[in-house]
Amino acid sequence: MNRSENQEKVTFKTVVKSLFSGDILTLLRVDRFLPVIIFLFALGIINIFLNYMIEQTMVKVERNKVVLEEYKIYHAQKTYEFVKSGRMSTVQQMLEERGSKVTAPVKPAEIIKAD
Amino acid sequence: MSEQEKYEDRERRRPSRVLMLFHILFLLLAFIVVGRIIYIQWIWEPNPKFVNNFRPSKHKEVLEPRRGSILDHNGRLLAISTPLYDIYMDCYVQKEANAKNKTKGVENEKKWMEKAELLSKGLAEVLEEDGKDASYYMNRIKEGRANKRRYVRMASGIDHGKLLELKQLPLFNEPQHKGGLIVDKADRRLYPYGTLARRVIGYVKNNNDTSQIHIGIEGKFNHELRGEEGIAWERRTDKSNWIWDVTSQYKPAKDGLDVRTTLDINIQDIADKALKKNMARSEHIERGCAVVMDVETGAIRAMVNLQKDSLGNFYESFNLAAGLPGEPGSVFKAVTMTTLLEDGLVNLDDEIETNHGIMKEYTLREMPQDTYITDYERRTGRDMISILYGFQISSNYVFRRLVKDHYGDSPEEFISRLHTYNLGANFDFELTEKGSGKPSIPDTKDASWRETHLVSAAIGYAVKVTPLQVATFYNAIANNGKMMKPYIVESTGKNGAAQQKFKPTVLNSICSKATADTLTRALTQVTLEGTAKKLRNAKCKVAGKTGTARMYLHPSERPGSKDPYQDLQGRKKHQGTFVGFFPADDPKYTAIVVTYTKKLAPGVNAYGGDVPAGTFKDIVDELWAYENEWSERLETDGDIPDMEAENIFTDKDAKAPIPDVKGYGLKDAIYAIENSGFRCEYSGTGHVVSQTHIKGNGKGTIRLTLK
Repeated sequence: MNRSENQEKVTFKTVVKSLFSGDILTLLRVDRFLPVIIFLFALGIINIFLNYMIEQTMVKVERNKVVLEEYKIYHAQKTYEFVKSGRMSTVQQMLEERGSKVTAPVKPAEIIKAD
Repeated sequence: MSEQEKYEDRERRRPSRVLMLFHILFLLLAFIVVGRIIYIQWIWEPNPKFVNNFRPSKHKEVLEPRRGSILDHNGRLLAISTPLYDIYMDCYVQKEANAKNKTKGVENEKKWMEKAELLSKGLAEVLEEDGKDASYYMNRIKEGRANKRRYVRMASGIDHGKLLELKQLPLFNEPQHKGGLIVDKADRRLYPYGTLARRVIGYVKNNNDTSQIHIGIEGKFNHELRGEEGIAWERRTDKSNWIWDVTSQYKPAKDGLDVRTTLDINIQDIADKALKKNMARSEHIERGCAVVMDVETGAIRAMVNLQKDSLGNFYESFNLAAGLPGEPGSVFKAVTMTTLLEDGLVNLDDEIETNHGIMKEYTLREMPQDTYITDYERRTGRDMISILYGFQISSNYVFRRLVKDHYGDSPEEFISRLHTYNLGANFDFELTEKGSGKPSIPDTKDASWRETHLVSAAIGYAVKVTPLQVATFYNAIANNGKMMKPYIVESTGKNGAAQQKFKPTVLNSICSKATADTLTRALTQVTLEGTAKKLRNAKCKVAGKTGTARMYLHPSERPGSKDPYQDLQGRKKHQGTFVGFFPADDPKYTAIVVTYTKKLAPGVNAYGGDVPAGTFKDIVDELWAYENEWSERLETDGDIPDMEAENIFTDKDAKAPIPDVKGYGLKDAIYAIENSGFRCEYSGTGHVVSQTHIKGNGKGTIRLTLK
């Protein structure tokens, strides 16, 4: 006996009857789409998981932004300090205070000609 | 199958009535749920009061742009924006919780106060503020805690490094609701070179300042520097983190552009130091300015504007160089001379009658006798004077006479020539600020025109020009007659790449090369034999001119006096100027130094050949050593001492015996000797040929002889 012969005919009456008896899905042969349903379900799970991962990554990105910003600030402030202490007259004054004989040049540097 | 069996089978398959009841019940519930979902989804409208609580939190974040930096010609930072932090403390934090906690409240409060003690000590050590020790901070915390104060200022304007240190301290290393640390961040503008070129760099109140008050480059280029704000929406995640909401509007902040100026901060430093040093020597001078300009391009390499207060402190308050026109005095004689030479009316070696320095056409009150001429007559016994010598000693009579003789019948010819030198109006210069005066040249068609205006203009009176205009004119002479427009910003851009470049602009050609050469000869004579003898020994040959002029006094400075140049006590203000270019043979820089005195008693003067020329010499001498342009070139096959790498001493050699520095240059020799713990003395120039150890304090002194 083949399967189609064994299957109940889908009519309004059988649908209502199967609805109440709880085997409507079997009646409608939804079991044929079970792999698709499982696939869609898996996709849904993956989607939720990926969204969660994206959210976590973005949280990390935001934290890194803060760290990066702090480094930028640190860099800017260090640059400022270096430039500040590199002022020519400040260096001259510091050398003078330390009693060094090194002073600002009194004549232009001699340049060796390259062939 | 028998009927009996069929009946039993049917009975076995038939669900029990209880199960059927449950089945129907759940089915009904399912219908209700589906119906409810449809109702909520499409029909029901929630109470707006609760909606926000059920939606994920979102807020709009304004993204602040980074304000662009200001750089010098070589890319060195002149202004940079960086956040500084104000530190506040919630002193009342945990106090209520401790009070309510019957079991551990007292113990917790005691622990908190112990941490506060440690915090106070840490604050005193990290912040190092005068007069604020640990007890100061502890008292503030105790007082704040007693008075329920939740926002007590502990420090302001601290940098990021100190903030990190503070965050390591007890309480401050805990979350805000436990430790009470509150940090307010605000962008501040920092100027690494302090007061150097402050007026030129300028200022704005903050990056959002769009006021019309344009001070310096900050103000003038505010639009480029400030950038554009951005917008981003952020949403809260389930774990209360805030992340960028990619589904909402997003506009990134556009950082401001960097502005690269033509200034060379080292030249600015040289000019600033020279002007301060020389102004400090004179108690009469209250203001001064100096400008150094590149001959070929007109680029401003330094612009100093100093004001001296009653305590002798210097500060920059107004751009005198670009914004204070005044009667320039004798430096204007070069303008007159250019006109006469260019019109082919005189030669430098032509001679005119001295006539005891008196202009016969005018009364002595109108045109006083020129004492330089009477001195000349007495000294030489001659009644003729060459134009070159008249220029050299800066004789007013000679130039009045020449202009009267050659342009007396057509003064408009002379006046119109002054306009061709761009002396009648301000250039479109970037730093012309509010309150700047307007240059002026008398108009022959104007009702206020007097005959004396012509001969006054010949010696730099009756005309008003800014120091920058005078420098631009002299720069044109140095540049073979080609007048370059002065400019101070060379480009705007980002990350070192220029987006907009401002190139040198030729205003016009004011004279021929021959006239410029003749003028250069005359100007060189002034520094060698004339009124600017201070420059005779400058490191390179300078061509320039001194100028001393009485200054026009505002009526409020001379109450009751009708003479615009003096008050009732006869006190006057003087403007002293030296302007020139160097090296005279192949000019690289033009510079001007102008000083302004306070009101001086009759007979007291401040000449252009004194402080301005002295300042100019200091600038020339330092700049000459600073520039590689004038370096001596040594041939590679010349006599260069051999130096071995292992002979180079570093601080690791501090315990080493006396280093052998023979053959070293002076700089390397001093480095090696001082790093080895000795002091150093030297004589001569070149390379070390001998060294002697002299015992004394410490390890003693090494005396070097260089040849």
